[in-house]
Amino acid sequence: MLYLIYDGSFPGFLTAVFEAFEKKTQELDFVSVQNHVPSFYEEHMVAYDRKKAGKVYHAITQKLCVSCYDRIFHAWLSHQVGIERDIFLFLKMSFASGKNLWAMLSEPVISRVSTAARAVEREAELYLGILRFRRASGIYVADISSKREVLPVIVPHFSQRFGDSPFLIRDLNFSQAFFCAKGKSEFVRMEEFSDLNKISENDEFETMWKAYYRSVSIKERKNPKVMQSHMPKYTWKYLIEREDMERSRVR
Amino acid sequence: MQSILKKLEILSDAAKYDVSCSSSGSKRGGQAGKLGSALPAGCCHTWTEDGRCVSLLKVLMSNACCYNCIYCINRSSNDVPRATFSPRELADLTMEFYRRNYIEGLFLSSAVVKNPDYTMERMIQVLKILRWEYGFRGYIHAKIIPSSAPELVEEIGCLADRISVNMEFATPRSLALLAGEKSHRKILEPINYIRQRTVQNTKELVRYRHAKAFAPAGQTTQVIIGATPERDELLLRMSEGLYRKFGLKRVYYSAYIPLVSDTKLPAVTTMPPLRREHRLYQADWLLRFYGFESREILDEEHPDLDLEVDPKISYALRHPELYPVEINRADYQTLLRVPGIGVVSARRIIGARRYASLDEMALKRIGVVLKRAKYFITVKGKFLGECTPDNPYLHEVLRDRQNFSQMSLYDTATVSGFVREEKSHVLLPG
Repeated sequence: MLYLIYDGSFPGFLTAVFEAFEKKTQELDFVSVQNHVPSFYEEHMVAYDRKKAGKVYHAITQKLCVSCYDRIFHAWLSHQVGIERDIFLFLKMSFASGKNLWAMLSEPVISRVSTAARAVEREAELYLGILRFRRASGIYVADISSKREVLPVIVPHFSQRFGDSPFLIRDLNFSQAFFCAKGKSEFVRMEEFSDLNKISENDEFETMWKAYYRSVSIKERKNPKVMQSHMPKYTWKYLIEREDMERSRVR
Repeated sequence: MQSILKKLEILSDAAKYDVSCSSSGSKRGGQAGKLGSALPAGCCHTWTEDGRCVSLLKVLMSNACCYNCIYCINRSSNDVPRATFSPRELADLTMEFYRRNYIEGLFLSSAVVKNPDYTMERMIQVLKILRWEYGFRGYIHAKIIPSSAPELVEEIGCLADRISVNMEFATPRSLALLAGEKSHRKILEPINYIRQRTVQNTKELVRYRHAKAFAPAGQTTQVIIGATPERDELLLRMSEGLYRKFGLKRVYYSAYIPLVSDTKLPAVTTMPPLRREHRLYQADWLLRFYGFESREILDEEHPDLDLEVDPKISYALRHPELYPVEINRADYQTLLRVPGIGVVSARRIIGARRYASLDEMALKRIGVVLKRAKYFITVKGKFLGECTPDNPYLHEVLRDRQNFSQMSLYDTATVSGFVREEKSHVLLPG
């Protein structure tokens, strides 16, 4: 068994995939340098190489399809145990057959990759809606605490939509932050914006939103089970409208 | 002078009985320096305590109605606090909520103030401020007031993404009984106009590069169920007609919530028919996505939907001669008619079949609900259900179990030797 250790980023993983194809070894597995634990198995350190990662990128987008690359990226973002190996096997199968194998769900490897991608995409879609901005010293700040790494998936949407004012999105679970202002955007370090936590502006629109949320509910149709199935409790932390509501007990 | 907060409380409370909530159907990218974009699938921003999704700022422009529809909380003879937004207030509120990602856009309706044309003109002012002054690119759903001038319908259609007219009731007689000032003909006129205008607009968009889009997300409508004696069969036929003839995107069914006591209305103690509403939505889905016709779901002999099982199971139990179907051979349309197989599962089965024939494990991975489907399919020739589709006790097995009820020893089912599925895997035929 050969372990390919990559630097923990997606381009680093693609470099490792390139080297895995080169090696033509049957038994191999991928592990990111953060999760790596030294063992007696054969190990090989893979350093990020732009050309190699680029070749894998082109192979996927040209031989398979453009959206395949996005879906593989989403599957990788799930950070499920063994997903890197599943992705590698999926690519091996797809390149061998010459076509896009997402539909072949009878094959367990493909089914796992597809499910992982969908799980990330579903959570990203949820966050598109429940992410909340608040004003803090002239910029709009949003905090999320996602179960899977969704920040890279949701930032294009927000960059497009909120083109007229600067904003910052922070994922506290994965310690990532994204800043966008006047058309320029980039991932930044969380520490640069730590002073924002202390500022609290009195926002009349937050009060109005809470009032709106309360008045829109029809009491005769109360159904906390359905509400929770769409909006899981772990997301309530940053939802302004649920701040003052009693904790609903769902049996 | 009411504060904006107070106005918002009153006017959103008054608007909540309009159940339409979707923000889908329109695709618009963002632009540098401007606020807003529209996602084709829409987006849910939060869910209320009653489990419904909130994606738009749903408010009335004003609840000072001059009509007196008996069932409505805003009717002129009712003593409730009245409020009216000014166009600028509402536009600013929409922008600020949007900026904080609370909403996808605005859903604007109104009570009839002075007359339909005046009301529509005030609503158009809000939309103009949003679109032309602020350059808002988010989603707007606007209601059309029946009996307003066609030029105003045209104007509002060019500013909004989706427009709708509420039918309220399926028959002219019910409408005349409960909403005397509204006319069935005057409601169908704008629905028809919007249909023709949309068809014309599709041609314009192909022909002229700078043609303006007219209501790109189409039109919808709403009917209230449970307040009048129409049967489900009539409602489904009406919906089918609206979809096929007028190209509506959706028909919404709103369970009647008794807020008013009147001889012409159900008693105030009546529970809202939520289960019936749920079944109607399921039947509506069969019409739109599963290729059913309304007479296949309901007819004169069966004028109401079965509340205990979903409409597709009800259909399957009435036509046992069509089942079981072989998963590895049936075509897409046939697969859609199997209970437990939805649009997504059917598509996946067809896709996966090209590579290998499917077995039970593959079906589970695909997402087929085998608990229901096993009575209606064979997998590689093997039948997995405990009894055949024509067994009369299958209805009892597949029934929705949410409301548990104590089974009695004197039930005919137990007397004739029927053994429940959970206790043993043998079902003795009756």
